[in-house]
Amino acid sequence: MSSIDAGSTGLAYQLRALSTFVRRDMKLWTYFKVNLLVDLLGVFSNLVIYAVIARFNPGGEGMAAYNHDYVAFVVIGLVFNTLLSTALSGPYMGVMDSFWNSRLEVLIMSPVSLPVFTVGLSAGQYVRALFRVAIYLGGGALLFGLRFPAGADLPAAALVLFLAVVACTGLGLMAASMIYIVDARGGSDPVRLVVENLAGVAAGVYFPVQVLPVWVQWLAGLVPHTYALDGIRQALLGGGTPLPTLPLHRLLPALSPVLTDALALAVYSALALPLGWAMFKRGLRLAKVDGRLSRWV
Amino acid sequence: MTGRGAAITTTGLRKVFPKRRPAENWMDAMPQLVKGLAGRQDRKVALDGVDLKIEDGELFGLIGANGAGKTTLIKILACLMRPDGGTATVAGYDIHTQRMMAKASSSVLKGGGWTGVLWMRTVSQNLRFQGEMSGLAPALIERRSAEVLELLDLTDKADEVPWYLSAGQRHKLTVALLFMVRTPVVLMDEPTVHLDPNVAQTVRRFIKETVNTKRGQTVLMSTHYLQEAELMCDRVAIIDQGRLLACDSPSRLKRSVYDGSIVEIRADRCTEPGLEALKAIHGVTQVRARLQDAALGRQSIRIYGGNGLNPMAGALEVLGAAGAEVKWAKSAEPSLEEVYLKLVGREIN
Repeated sequence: MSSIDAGSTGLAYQLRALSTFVRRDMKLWTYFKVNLLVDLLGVFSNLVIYAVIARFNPGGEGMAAYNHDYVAFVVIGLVFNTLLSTALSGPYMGVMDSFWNSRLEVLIMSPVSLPVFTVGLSAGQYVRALFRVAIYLGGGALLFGLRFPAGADLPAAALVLFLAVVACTGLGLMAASMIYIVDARGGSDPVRLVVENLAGVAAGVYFPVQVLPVWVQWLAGLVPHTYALDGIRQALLGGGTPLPTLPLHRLLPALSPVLTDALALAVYSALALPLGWAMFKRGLRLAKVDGRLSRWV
Repeated sequence: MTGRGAAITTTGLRKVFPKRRPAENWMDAMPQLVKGLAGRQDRKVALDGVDLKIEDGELFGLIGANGAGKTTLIKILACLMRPDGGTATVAGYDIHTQRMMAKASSSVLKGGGWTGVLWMRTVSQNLRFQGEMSGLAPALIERRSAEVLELLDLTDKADEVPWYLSAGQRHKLTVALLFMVRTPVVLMDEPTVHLDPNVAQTVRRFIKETVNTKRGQTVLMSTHYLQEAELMCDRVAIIDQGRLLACDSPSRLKRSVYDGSIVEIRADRCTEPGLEALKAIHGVTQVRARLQDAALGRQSIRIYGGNGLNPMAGALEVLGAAGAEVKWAKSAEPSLEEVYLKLVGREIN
């Protein structure tokens, strides 16, 4: 039948589909110019708040491992919390957006492979996150004197970041699976509820973990953010001599703290990603069985 | 119909849903929860062993009331839902074992909805997105966009965002999205529902003349508009409570349920006694009258004759004697509505 399109499902198609996801999300994000401006100004005002706090010299207790530099400490916290939040929330938000806008069936019916579909749902959010990261880093450097000391270990920081994103993606897939496993279609889910609260309070985004009670420090060890933030800060700010700051560091004194952070994240990733993927597939399968996949009824 | 083989087959397709009812309060929710945990939830059979074979190039209609199982069947064929039993193929690909190819071989339209529309992108950007997601080359996307925009009379709306379009234009956009890609099989769930008559007619003509006849795409469309199915489809199947009750061409289905004579009469000043007198004519098995204009007493009357008797002459005589003014009278065929009524036992709407 000459008029019929040949089904295209190869690698080149999958990559094109991924870029289409990104371009689509960017168009949606930038469509309302005022909202876009407010969004970016919100990121900047967040930076200003912590930069002002830095003027009160909070570089005392627990800051030795981070060169007593609160501006760098908090900017790194904001940057990596932005990226890790995207990894955590991306799959859930992507599925929910497509579900409520009646686009999920179109995506599921297209010959996009499940991994590309899953990555595509959050790819645009990563691009948005990178804009926010640029504001944190650029604003921090230009307006608040953000500097990284000589001897910053960039490869170690990159490794920790990669492992942390993988681990958080696993948790993000678990969160997305909750849409169908426990019918969490209302905008919140139990996985993100636990992880985001624990990360916000105890993982050390805004202050060092050492200032918290020891039992809370152990509790903070349950989320990858804790190891990621500590590892990256020590790699970038520690000046080549990382100090033990987390309970796990004290449990494994023979290892360098940054290496311990990387190992913890590697173990976390090895467990969370396959489990998250299995749960996500299980959720979609359940939805296809009981007819809740899309809003088409 | 080209007779090139089966485009869609289903064998013993079965689907059962748990019956869901939102709990009114916690006291109400607990028994439901316990029943669910014990696996004793009330269940509704949506498809009950559906066997179907649709030939390549056929325009096939699935007729049924709301909740009959039409959408469930289409969703299963579109790989959006898994059946509980049985199997199906789409363009020769098994929906269980060759899902990717089955998906790539079919496209789907949900009538009256907003499927796939990106609200904050223009009509042409929507079409481009659809083309890219379906793996079309950029040049083909441009050509196809222009083609479907022209066909559906949307060219002057190409740069508008969907929420500034009228409801009919938005529906046309969902149709345009569907037709950006030419798959061997096209699945349509009530493609003209909620459309005004003119737009519905445009969509019907496009499906029949362009999609099915010109391009040779196999179309499975569900509808509860019986006249639409009768006018458009090569074959129709009647589905009720998940079971296929009949499947054949509209003309054969009509012959199969009624082989007597039918007379259709339009008459003014038609009174109840006149209608009663029609029923008393020798050989008349049934009289169905529909009031069309109360002021004129205008009735549209269908008179069914059995035993090889044509009730035309007797009916005209009786109505004349009752003071009715016959506008016209003609021999008629049974309608699909009558087939449906006979098979299902109630009217479709």
